[in-house]
Amino acid sequence: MGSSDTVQGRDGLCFFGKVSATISHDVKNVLAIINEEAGLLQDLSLMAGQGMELDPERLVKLAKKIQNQVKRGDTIIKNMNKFAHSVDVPESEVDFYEMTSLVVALFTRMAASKCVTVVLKEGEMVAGKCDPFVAEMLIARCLEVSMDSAGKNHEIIVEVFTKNSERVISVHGLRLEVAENDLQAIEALSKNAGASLIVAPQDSLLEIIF
Amino acid sequence: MKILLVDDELELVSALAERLSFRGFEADWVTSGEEAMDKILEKDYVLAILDVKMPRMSGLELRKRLEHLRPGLKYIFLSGHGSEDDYNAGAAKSDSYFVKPVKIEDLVESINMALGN
Repeated sequence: MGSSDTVQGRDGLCFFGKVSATISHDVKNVLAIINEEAGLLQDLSLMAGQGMELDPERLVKLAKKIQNQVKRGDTIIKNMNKFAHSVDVPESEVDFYEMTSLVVALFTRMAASKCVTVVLKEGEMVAGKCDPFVAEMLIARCLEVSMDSAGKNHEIIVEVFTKNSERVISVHGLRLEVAENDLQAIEALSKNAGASLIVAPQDSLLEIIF
Repeated sequence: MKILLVDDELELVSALAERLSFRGFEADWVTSGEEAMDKILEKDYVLAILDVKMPRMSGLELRKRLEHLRPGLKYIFLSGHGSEDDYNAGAAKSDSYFVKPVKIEDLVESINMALGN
């Protein structure tokens, strides 16, 4: 039995739902911008048809903005696809740096709503085996807890590295004590993920060790 | 008839304001609740179009604060998703609630209705 099977089904579903809702919100914003930029193009074309002078530079800028939004939408959908495939197998070889990068990208909106900046330090591939979905859930929950501990208008810095043959995801920037129920939740998750945790707000540190 | 648009997506709110100006509305825009609170004191706005989900200050929280600054201001809410909670909270005190992307004709009709045009 894979570790996914030991995760409470509803918790996993809730996590999947939360990420999906965030993605749908981001895609809606992209579509709304494309809708307005295209509408603006249409308005300008209609006005040009009635004799208004039309600046070609303006059209080029509008087309570029639409292309940028398509690129933004494409990145969101690629991340969504990667996340959706994380439930495919209960264990696989992963790159923990790439996985952390995905979770940080998926939680950008949540960070913004909590007024916290999340910075993922540049790093290299950190290979290892895990249940991808459970590991993503653990990283995400630890990020949420860290954001709450850091508080509004603060920054948390995430690093992924190998230390003594262990894979470490380190979060710096905690300021407040972590609530007991949050601590219990991430400890239970870490057990399911086959990881261990170090939570030390006095050192501004939270570490996930695989 | 001055309208204030508030949405953290700059490209969305600037394009929408320009499109509304083509349709005869004097529309200003800002990208945060804090800016909106400053802006609302500068001009005599009659209607605010607010994004429900914004970082730092949500559209619903912003409405509460604007109600103190400009009693009688009308509201239309825009949302990126159709959450029932947001709808209930947004629609309860506003004139309209739209899920993005919005059809400009529907928005204009809603603005006119809110302003009694």
